Parts: sequence; C-alpha cells; structure tokens
Amino acid sequence: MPASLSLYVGSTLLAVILLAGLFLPLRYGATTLDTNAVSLPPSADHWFGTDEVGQDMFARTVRAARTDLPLAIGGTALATVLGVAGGLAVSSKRRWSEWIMRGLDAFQSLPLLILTIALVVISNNNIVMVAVAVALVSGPFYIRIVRSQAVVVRESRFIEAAITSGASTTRVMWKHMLPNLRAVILAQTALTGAVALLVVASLSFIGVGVVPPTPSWGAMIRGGAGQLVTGQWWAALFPGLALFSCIISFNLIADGLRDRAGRRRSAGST
Amino acid sequence: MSIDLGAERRSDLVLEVEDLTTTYHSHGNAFEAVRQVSFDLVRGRRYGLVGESGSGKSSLIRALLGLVRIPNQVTATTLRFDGRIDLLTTPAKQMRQIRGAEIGYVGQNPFGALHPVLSVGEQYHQFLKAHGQSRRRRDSLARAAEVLAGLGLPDPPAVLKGHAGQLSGGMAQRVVLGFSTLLQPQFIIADEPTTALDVTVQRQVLDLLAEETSGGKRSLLLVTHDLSVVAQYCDDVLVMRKGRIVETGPVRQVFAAPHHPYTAALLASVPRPGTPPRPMTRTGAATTGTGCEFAPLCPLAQENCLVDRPLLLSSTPGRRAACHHMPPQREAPRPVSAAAGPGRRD
Amino acid sequence: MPTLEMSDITKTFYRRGQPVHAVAGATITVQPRETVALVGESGSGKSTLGRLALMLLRPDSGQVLFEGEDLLRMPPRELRARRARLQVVFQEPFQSLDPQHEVRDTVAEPLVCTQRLDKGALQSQVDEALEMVGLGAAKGSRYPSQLSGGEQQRVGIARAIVTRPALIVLDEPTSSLDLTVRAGIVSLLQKLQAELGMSYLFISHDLDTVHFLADRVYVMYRGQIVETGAAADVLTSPEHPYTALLGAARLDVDPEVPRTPLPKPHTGLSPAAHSCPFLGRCERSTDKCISKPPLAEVSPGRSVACWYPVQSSP
Repeated sequence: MPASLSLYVGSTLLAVILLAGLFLPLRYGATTLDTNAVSLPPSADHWFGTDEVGQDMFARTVRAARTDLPLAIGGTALATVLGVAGGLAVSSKRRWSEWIMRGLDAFQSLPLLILTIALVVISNNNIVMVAVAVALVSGPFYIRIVRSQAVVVRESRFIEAAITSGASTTRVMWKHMLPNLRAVILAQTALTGAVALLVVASLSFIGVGVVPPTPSWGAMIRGGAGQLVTGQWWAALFPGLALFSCIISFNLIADGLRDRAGRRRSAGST
Repeated sequence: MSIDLGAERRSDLVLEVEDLTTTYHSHGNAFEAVRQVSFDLVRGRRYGLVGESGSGKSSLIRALLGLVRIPNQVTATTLRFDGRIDLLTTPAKQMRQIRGAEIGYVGQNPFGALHPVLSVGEQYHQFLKAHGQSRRRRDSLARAAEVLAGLGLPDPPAVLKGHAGQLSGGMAQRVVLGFSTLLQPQFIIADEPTTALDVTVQRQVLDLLAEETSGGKRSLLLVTHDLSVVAQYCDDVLVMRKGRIVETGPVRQVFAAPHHPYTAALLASVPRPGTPPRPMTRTGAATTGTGCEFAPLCPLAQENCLVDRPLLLSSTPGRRAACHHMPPQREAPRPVSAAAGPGRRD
Repeated sequence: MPTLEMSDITKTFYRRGQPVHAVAGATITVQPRETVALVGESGSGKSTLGRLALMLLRPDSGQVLFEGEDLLRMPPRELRARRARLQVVFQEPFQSLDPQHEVRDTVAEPLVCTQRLDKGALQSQVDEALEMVGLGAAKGSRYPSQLSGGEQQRVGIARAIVTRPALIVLDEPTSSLDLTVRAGIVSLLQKLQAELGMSYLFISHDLDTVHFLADRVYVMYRGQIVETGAAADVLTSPEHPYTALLGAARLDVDPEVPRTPLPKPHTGLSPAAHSCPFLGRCERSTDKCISKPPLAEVSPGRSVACWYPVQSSP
C-alpha cells in the first residue's frame, strides 16, 4: 500500500472509532440492563445483539472506545516522553549510558505484563496506573529505537558543525537532533499506540484496570468468549473486531510514516 | 602518425562499442546514464576513461561487464569483445565465466570486493574452482601465492591464511588485483582503483597495474576522475560528460592541445604549482533539448551550438571531438576509432 | 600574537583496548592572515589535530591558545561565544548541512548562537554571506538536498564566514568535489581571504592545492610533525624523506613529465615508541634512527625531524 494511502486509511478509521465512541448518540445506554432482552442475536433493534445481562452490544462496543482509546493514547504519550528523553539521554557515549542500557536489558527480561498486573492491582485498580503500565511495557522498546537513530544523528557532521557554530547542548537537541529524529519518533509512537491498546485490553481481559460495568473491549471479549460454546458468537466478535480495527489503524499509520521518512532520506542522499 | 583503419584486422580490437545506451528506470522515470556511445579499444593499449560525477563512466563500465539488471537496460548496435563475443546477448552464466577469465575487474573499494569471513586463500580457491582451473585447494593456494608475490605483497602465505579485515587498503587492493590478473585476462577494467588509497599506495598499485598491462598484449580501461593518473599511465584517453563521449585521442596529443572546450576546462581546473586552477564560468546561454550540453559553460558557444548537438567526429587523424569549433580539418571527416597513434608508453 | 597556538598536543584513542596515538606531541602556530597547511596521509593525525583546534575534541595534554586565550580553561558559555571567531568547513558538503533546515537558517546559525541581532540585521548579514560565496540570496530558501555538491560546499563556506572569524579550519574542503567544481571553491577561498583577512588552517593530502594555497606547511606522519617551513620550500626541496616520498608519489598532469621513481625502503627495521616514526619505510635509515630525532631548525623558519635531512646531508 502506498505510504499516503495507508496513512489516510489508518487515521480515518481511528478517528471514526474515537469520534463515534465520544459523540455518537445511541438508542440504548451502554450500561443499561434489560432482563427482557438477554443474549439476543444481532437484529434491526440490537445491531450487535445483547449480552447475557441484556446490555446492548452495539452501545457497549462503541462506548468502550471512550475508555480504551484515551487510556492507550495516554499510555503512549507517557511512553513517548520516556522513550524520547531516555533515548536521547543514553545516546551519548558516556559510560553511564552503557550502564543504563544494560539495566534496560535486565528490566526487559522480566515478565513485564505480570509486573503491570501486580502494579494495577496493588494501586487498587487505579485507572491511571493502566497508562503507567503501558509506558512500562513499551517504554524500553521506545528508548532503544530512539537511541539507535540518535547515535547515528549525533555522529553526523552537521551536529559537529552546529557545535562549532556555538550551539548549546539544548539547542543541538531541539534544533538538530529532534527534527532529524521526527520520522522515527512519529512511526514509533503509532506503533506504541497499537501495543498500548493491546496492553489495556489484556489487562481488562483478566479483570484488571477497566472492570465491568464500564465497557471495555478486553473485558467484553472475555465475557463473550465464554458464550462462544453456547452459540452466542456476537458477544465476542464485535468488540474483537473493534479492537482489531484500532490496532490495524495504528499499524497502518506507523507504516505510512516510516515509508515517508525512508523516501525523504533517499531523496536527500543524492 | 596516422593509422590506416582499413588495414586493421578485427582481432586487433579488444572491444567494439557502437551506439551503446544505458537506461535506468526508477519510480516510472527513465534516465539515460550513457547515451549513444561508440568507441573501439585496440589490443595492447591502455585507455583512460575520464569524467566527473554523473558523466556515466561507471554506468558504461557496468554495461560492458554485463552488470546492468532488469528493469534497467542496455541497447547497442554493437558490443563485441575480442571480435567474437557479443556481450549484449551472452547469457548471465557465460558472462560469469568471461568476467575473471577474459575480462578482469578492479573496483574502487577492495573491501567491498573481498569476502569478510572467508580467508583470502579460500576465496582464491573458490575463484579458481568456479573457473574450472583448479580442483585442489593446495594447487589454488600455490598459484595464488605466486601471483601475490609477483604483486609485491610481503609473506603471501600469511596473507592467504588471513582475512580481508586484517589487510591495509593498499594490500587489499593488491589482493583484488591478484584476482583480476590470476587467469591472465586479455582485458582489465579498473574503476577508480586508487581513489580510496593514499598517494604513496596509489603509486604502488598503479605501477603494478601498468606492469601487468605492459608488453602490448593486454588492454586496460582505467576509469578515473584524476587527469594526472591518465596523463601518467594511459596511452589514450576518452573524455565523458553527461553520458556522452566528448573527446578521444592519444593522451599526449589531447593533453597538449585539447579539441573539446570541456577537456580544456578540465585540464585548466587541475591545480599546478605556479598556475592557479581556472574554474569554469557560466556564460548564461540557454540550450534547447537538441543543443550541445556543454554550451551553457562553453566560452566558444555560438548560436548553432544552442540548437544543434555536435556529433563525435574525427577532428585530426586519430582523434575525435564532439564540438562545432574543433580545429580546422586537415582531411575529410570520417569516423575514426578512439585508438590511434604510436608512441605507447610503459 | 599568533591566531592559533597549539603546543605539545597529544591525543590517544583506544580501539578495542589498543591505544592509537593519533596525535603524539605536535606543536603548530597560525599567524593572522596566514594560510597554514597540515599535510599527511590517512592516519597521520592531521584531521584529529584540526578537530582539537576546533575543540570538538579535548587533547590528553598540551595547550590550545586562540587569540592569546586558553581554550581548554575557558568556561563552556564563553567558549561558545568565542566560536564566532573560530569556524570550520568540512570535507563532506552534504553531511555537514542539517537536511531539515533551509540554507538560510544553516548560514544564520553561528550568528544566532553567538550574537544578539534583530531580525533585519540577521537577514542582511546572511544574504551578504550568501552573495559573497556566489550563491545569491534566492538559494537561501532551498534545502541542502536541492543543491549541487559545489553549491552545498558554498553554503558551508557562507556559514563559516558569516561571523567574520579570525580562523577557519578547512578540513579537506575540496576532496569530495568534482575537478571543475574544486577549482571554483579554491579560488573562492582565496578571494574571501583577500577580502576578509582571516587565517586558514588547511588540512589536505593534495600537495598541488597546498602548494598553490598555503603560506606555510606542516607535514605530519603518525601523529608527529616531521617537517615544517614555507610551503614553496618544503614542497619543492623537501628535507624529510617522508615529504620527499609524498612529492615523488605525486603524479604530474603533463604526460611529458616523467614519473619520479619511488625510493625503495630500507627494510629490516620497524618503528617503535621511541624510534623515528618513519623507520622501516625510509631509504636513509641507519641504527641511529632507533632513537627519535627532534624537530630541529635547519634554516630560519624551516625545521625537520630527521637525523639525515635530504638537502642538508648527502
């Protein structure tokens, strides 16, 4: 897929899901129980059917974007700050940056998802801690990616030229390092978005973080999974599709950004 | 002085090229890196191919070696090696046999040409095996050691046991030179073989290359941007600019009195003690697509240069230049081979 | 007062734990309005010495005086301001320009970093610098990738002159350029020096350009200065066998001028820490060369580090 097309498709899909979650008026409430309409298949009335306590699946699937996406985006923002600042800091050739990288190796060898589960549970299911959990899981990857590029940029002649021009370290960072890392940062942020969404869903899947009755794709898939065997396929399918679409969108955006950056670099090397 | 081309036997020509064009395709655009180039190379002479970046000299070499791949294409009415092999239609498998055995090649970066993990000796063995010249490693190593000793490498057995990474630039280039001379090919193509080397090492490598191609049996096509290298090591020169050959002829004659203003500008740009290098100046003349490509920079440009591109024609016997203002003709114009003139130098 | 005075500079790098003495006790001076060339082959330490002069590297020992002030003891903020007087032009024109910045911003950077100027003054000084290097203000809004190699190098030169420095380090400024472009850059450098009166520290391996451009020359070999003197003297009548070798290896563009045969090295000896660094490649070496010859004056302004100088001893 051409870079511009995948960027366009990805961001449109994501925007539609997010905006629908925030603003789409719904016939049924996302947490309204209806004992007369338990486990109904999709129909003109209930587009995505209802679950075992009679909640409208369409309303829940759409409204879940209100909690899941902001959490993922918040976590991604946190990971981005951590990744860019950390990546730049450890890109220097100092000895302590080597130590930090080894520390990161050790940290990443831990079962991070289990660690984050513990973290959220200990904080008494504090929703903010879910975002922190996201940053913990994807931050180290982010730091590595930024560092690997920053090391190359830092060694460039134009950085030396900036230093001999009298630029301070801060100026070199903001005016020369970051603009030349922009493409990598944008692509990695989009990719982290996908990971973040998966972490949020995984946590709520096992009942940590966002818990019912607040709608969340992970918890809904969990609930629906149990009903698959009894033939109620819709309860897990639709939240699954929503989650899948969001992750695909993030990946499309990341691909598009990366392709665009690649093209610019090759155009510049002539 | 002049030579009669009619009497020249076909087998005297190691390479015949007529109307060669290389077209590169990328992102739906076609770009002609080499445009309708025609020249002949006479056996036993050393040719210097000079040009600046973008002149198409490297693309021309890739075309000669059969290294231009789809979707890029080479077209030519003639591209004949040794009077018998059509390089344009030779299948890739056979071209691999020709390269190395009949046409030796030395590139700019010796470390790119050598395998980083296999020992130098193993690479020589593989090379000889691929060309059906040796089956036993011991024989290969003995032959390789002989060649390397001939190239002035100290302690060839140690070099053969070692890897490319352990060699200095000059030694590595000599190892590559060993590959291109091992099977005694009659034609060696060297593409900027000393550009990456220090001046003292450059001299050693060039002296070796000259030695290998002395004796009038082997031909050399030396691609370079350095006019001094051509002046000191070549018999004839071909000057390329923007994909075309603009001047050819014996080095001594061309360097003493260039016929094309671009050649003159190149020579004037060389820094020499006492004389300041003279940069080219833009005259501001605008050309149409059919005009001479050098006209905007040419001090001699006149109206006809802007619309009518000059062909590469004989200027004086043994020399050709693509310029409307080349020196007055002493005889009727006729296409002449790039090669001419006695006075070869060793 | 010399513009630049570097004394007894040493710099050692470690490659896989092995020490590489890039600069091993070099002393150079550059006078106002003077062009001084550092000549040598790859690994001679000439580029490292240039980077030490620019304070892109700090020496292990030695002193760097720039316009009489000790750069090594200068607080960072003051050093940054002082960089307006000490500029550089690199070998690789494209790599030395930030691809994300317009030419105008790149040229303005030394002014922005070292001087407080209003927008108008900044603009006019940048335009003036662009005009001086023959680019014209119109190219200011281009990006580096939209310029030719020669134009890119002119941008680099405009950046170097915009603050009217006292010294520009020219690190092989023409090596990666085409021949015809090279001539234009060389004459531009000459013109700018005549107009602005700065000194050049010209790092190069191209003896012909050095001969043409430089007043004085330092020949470096393995991190040490082996010969120094007026450029014309050193290049036409070398005293050190290494300088002589460089001269002999040089190829003349006139086909009628025969090549000088390269001297055969006197093998059997190899250089050690306290020997002459050229031992083993030298045709004149004897047992005496096992001890290192000091850089000694052989005639006024001319010094050579050799026990058997070419001209002075048979």
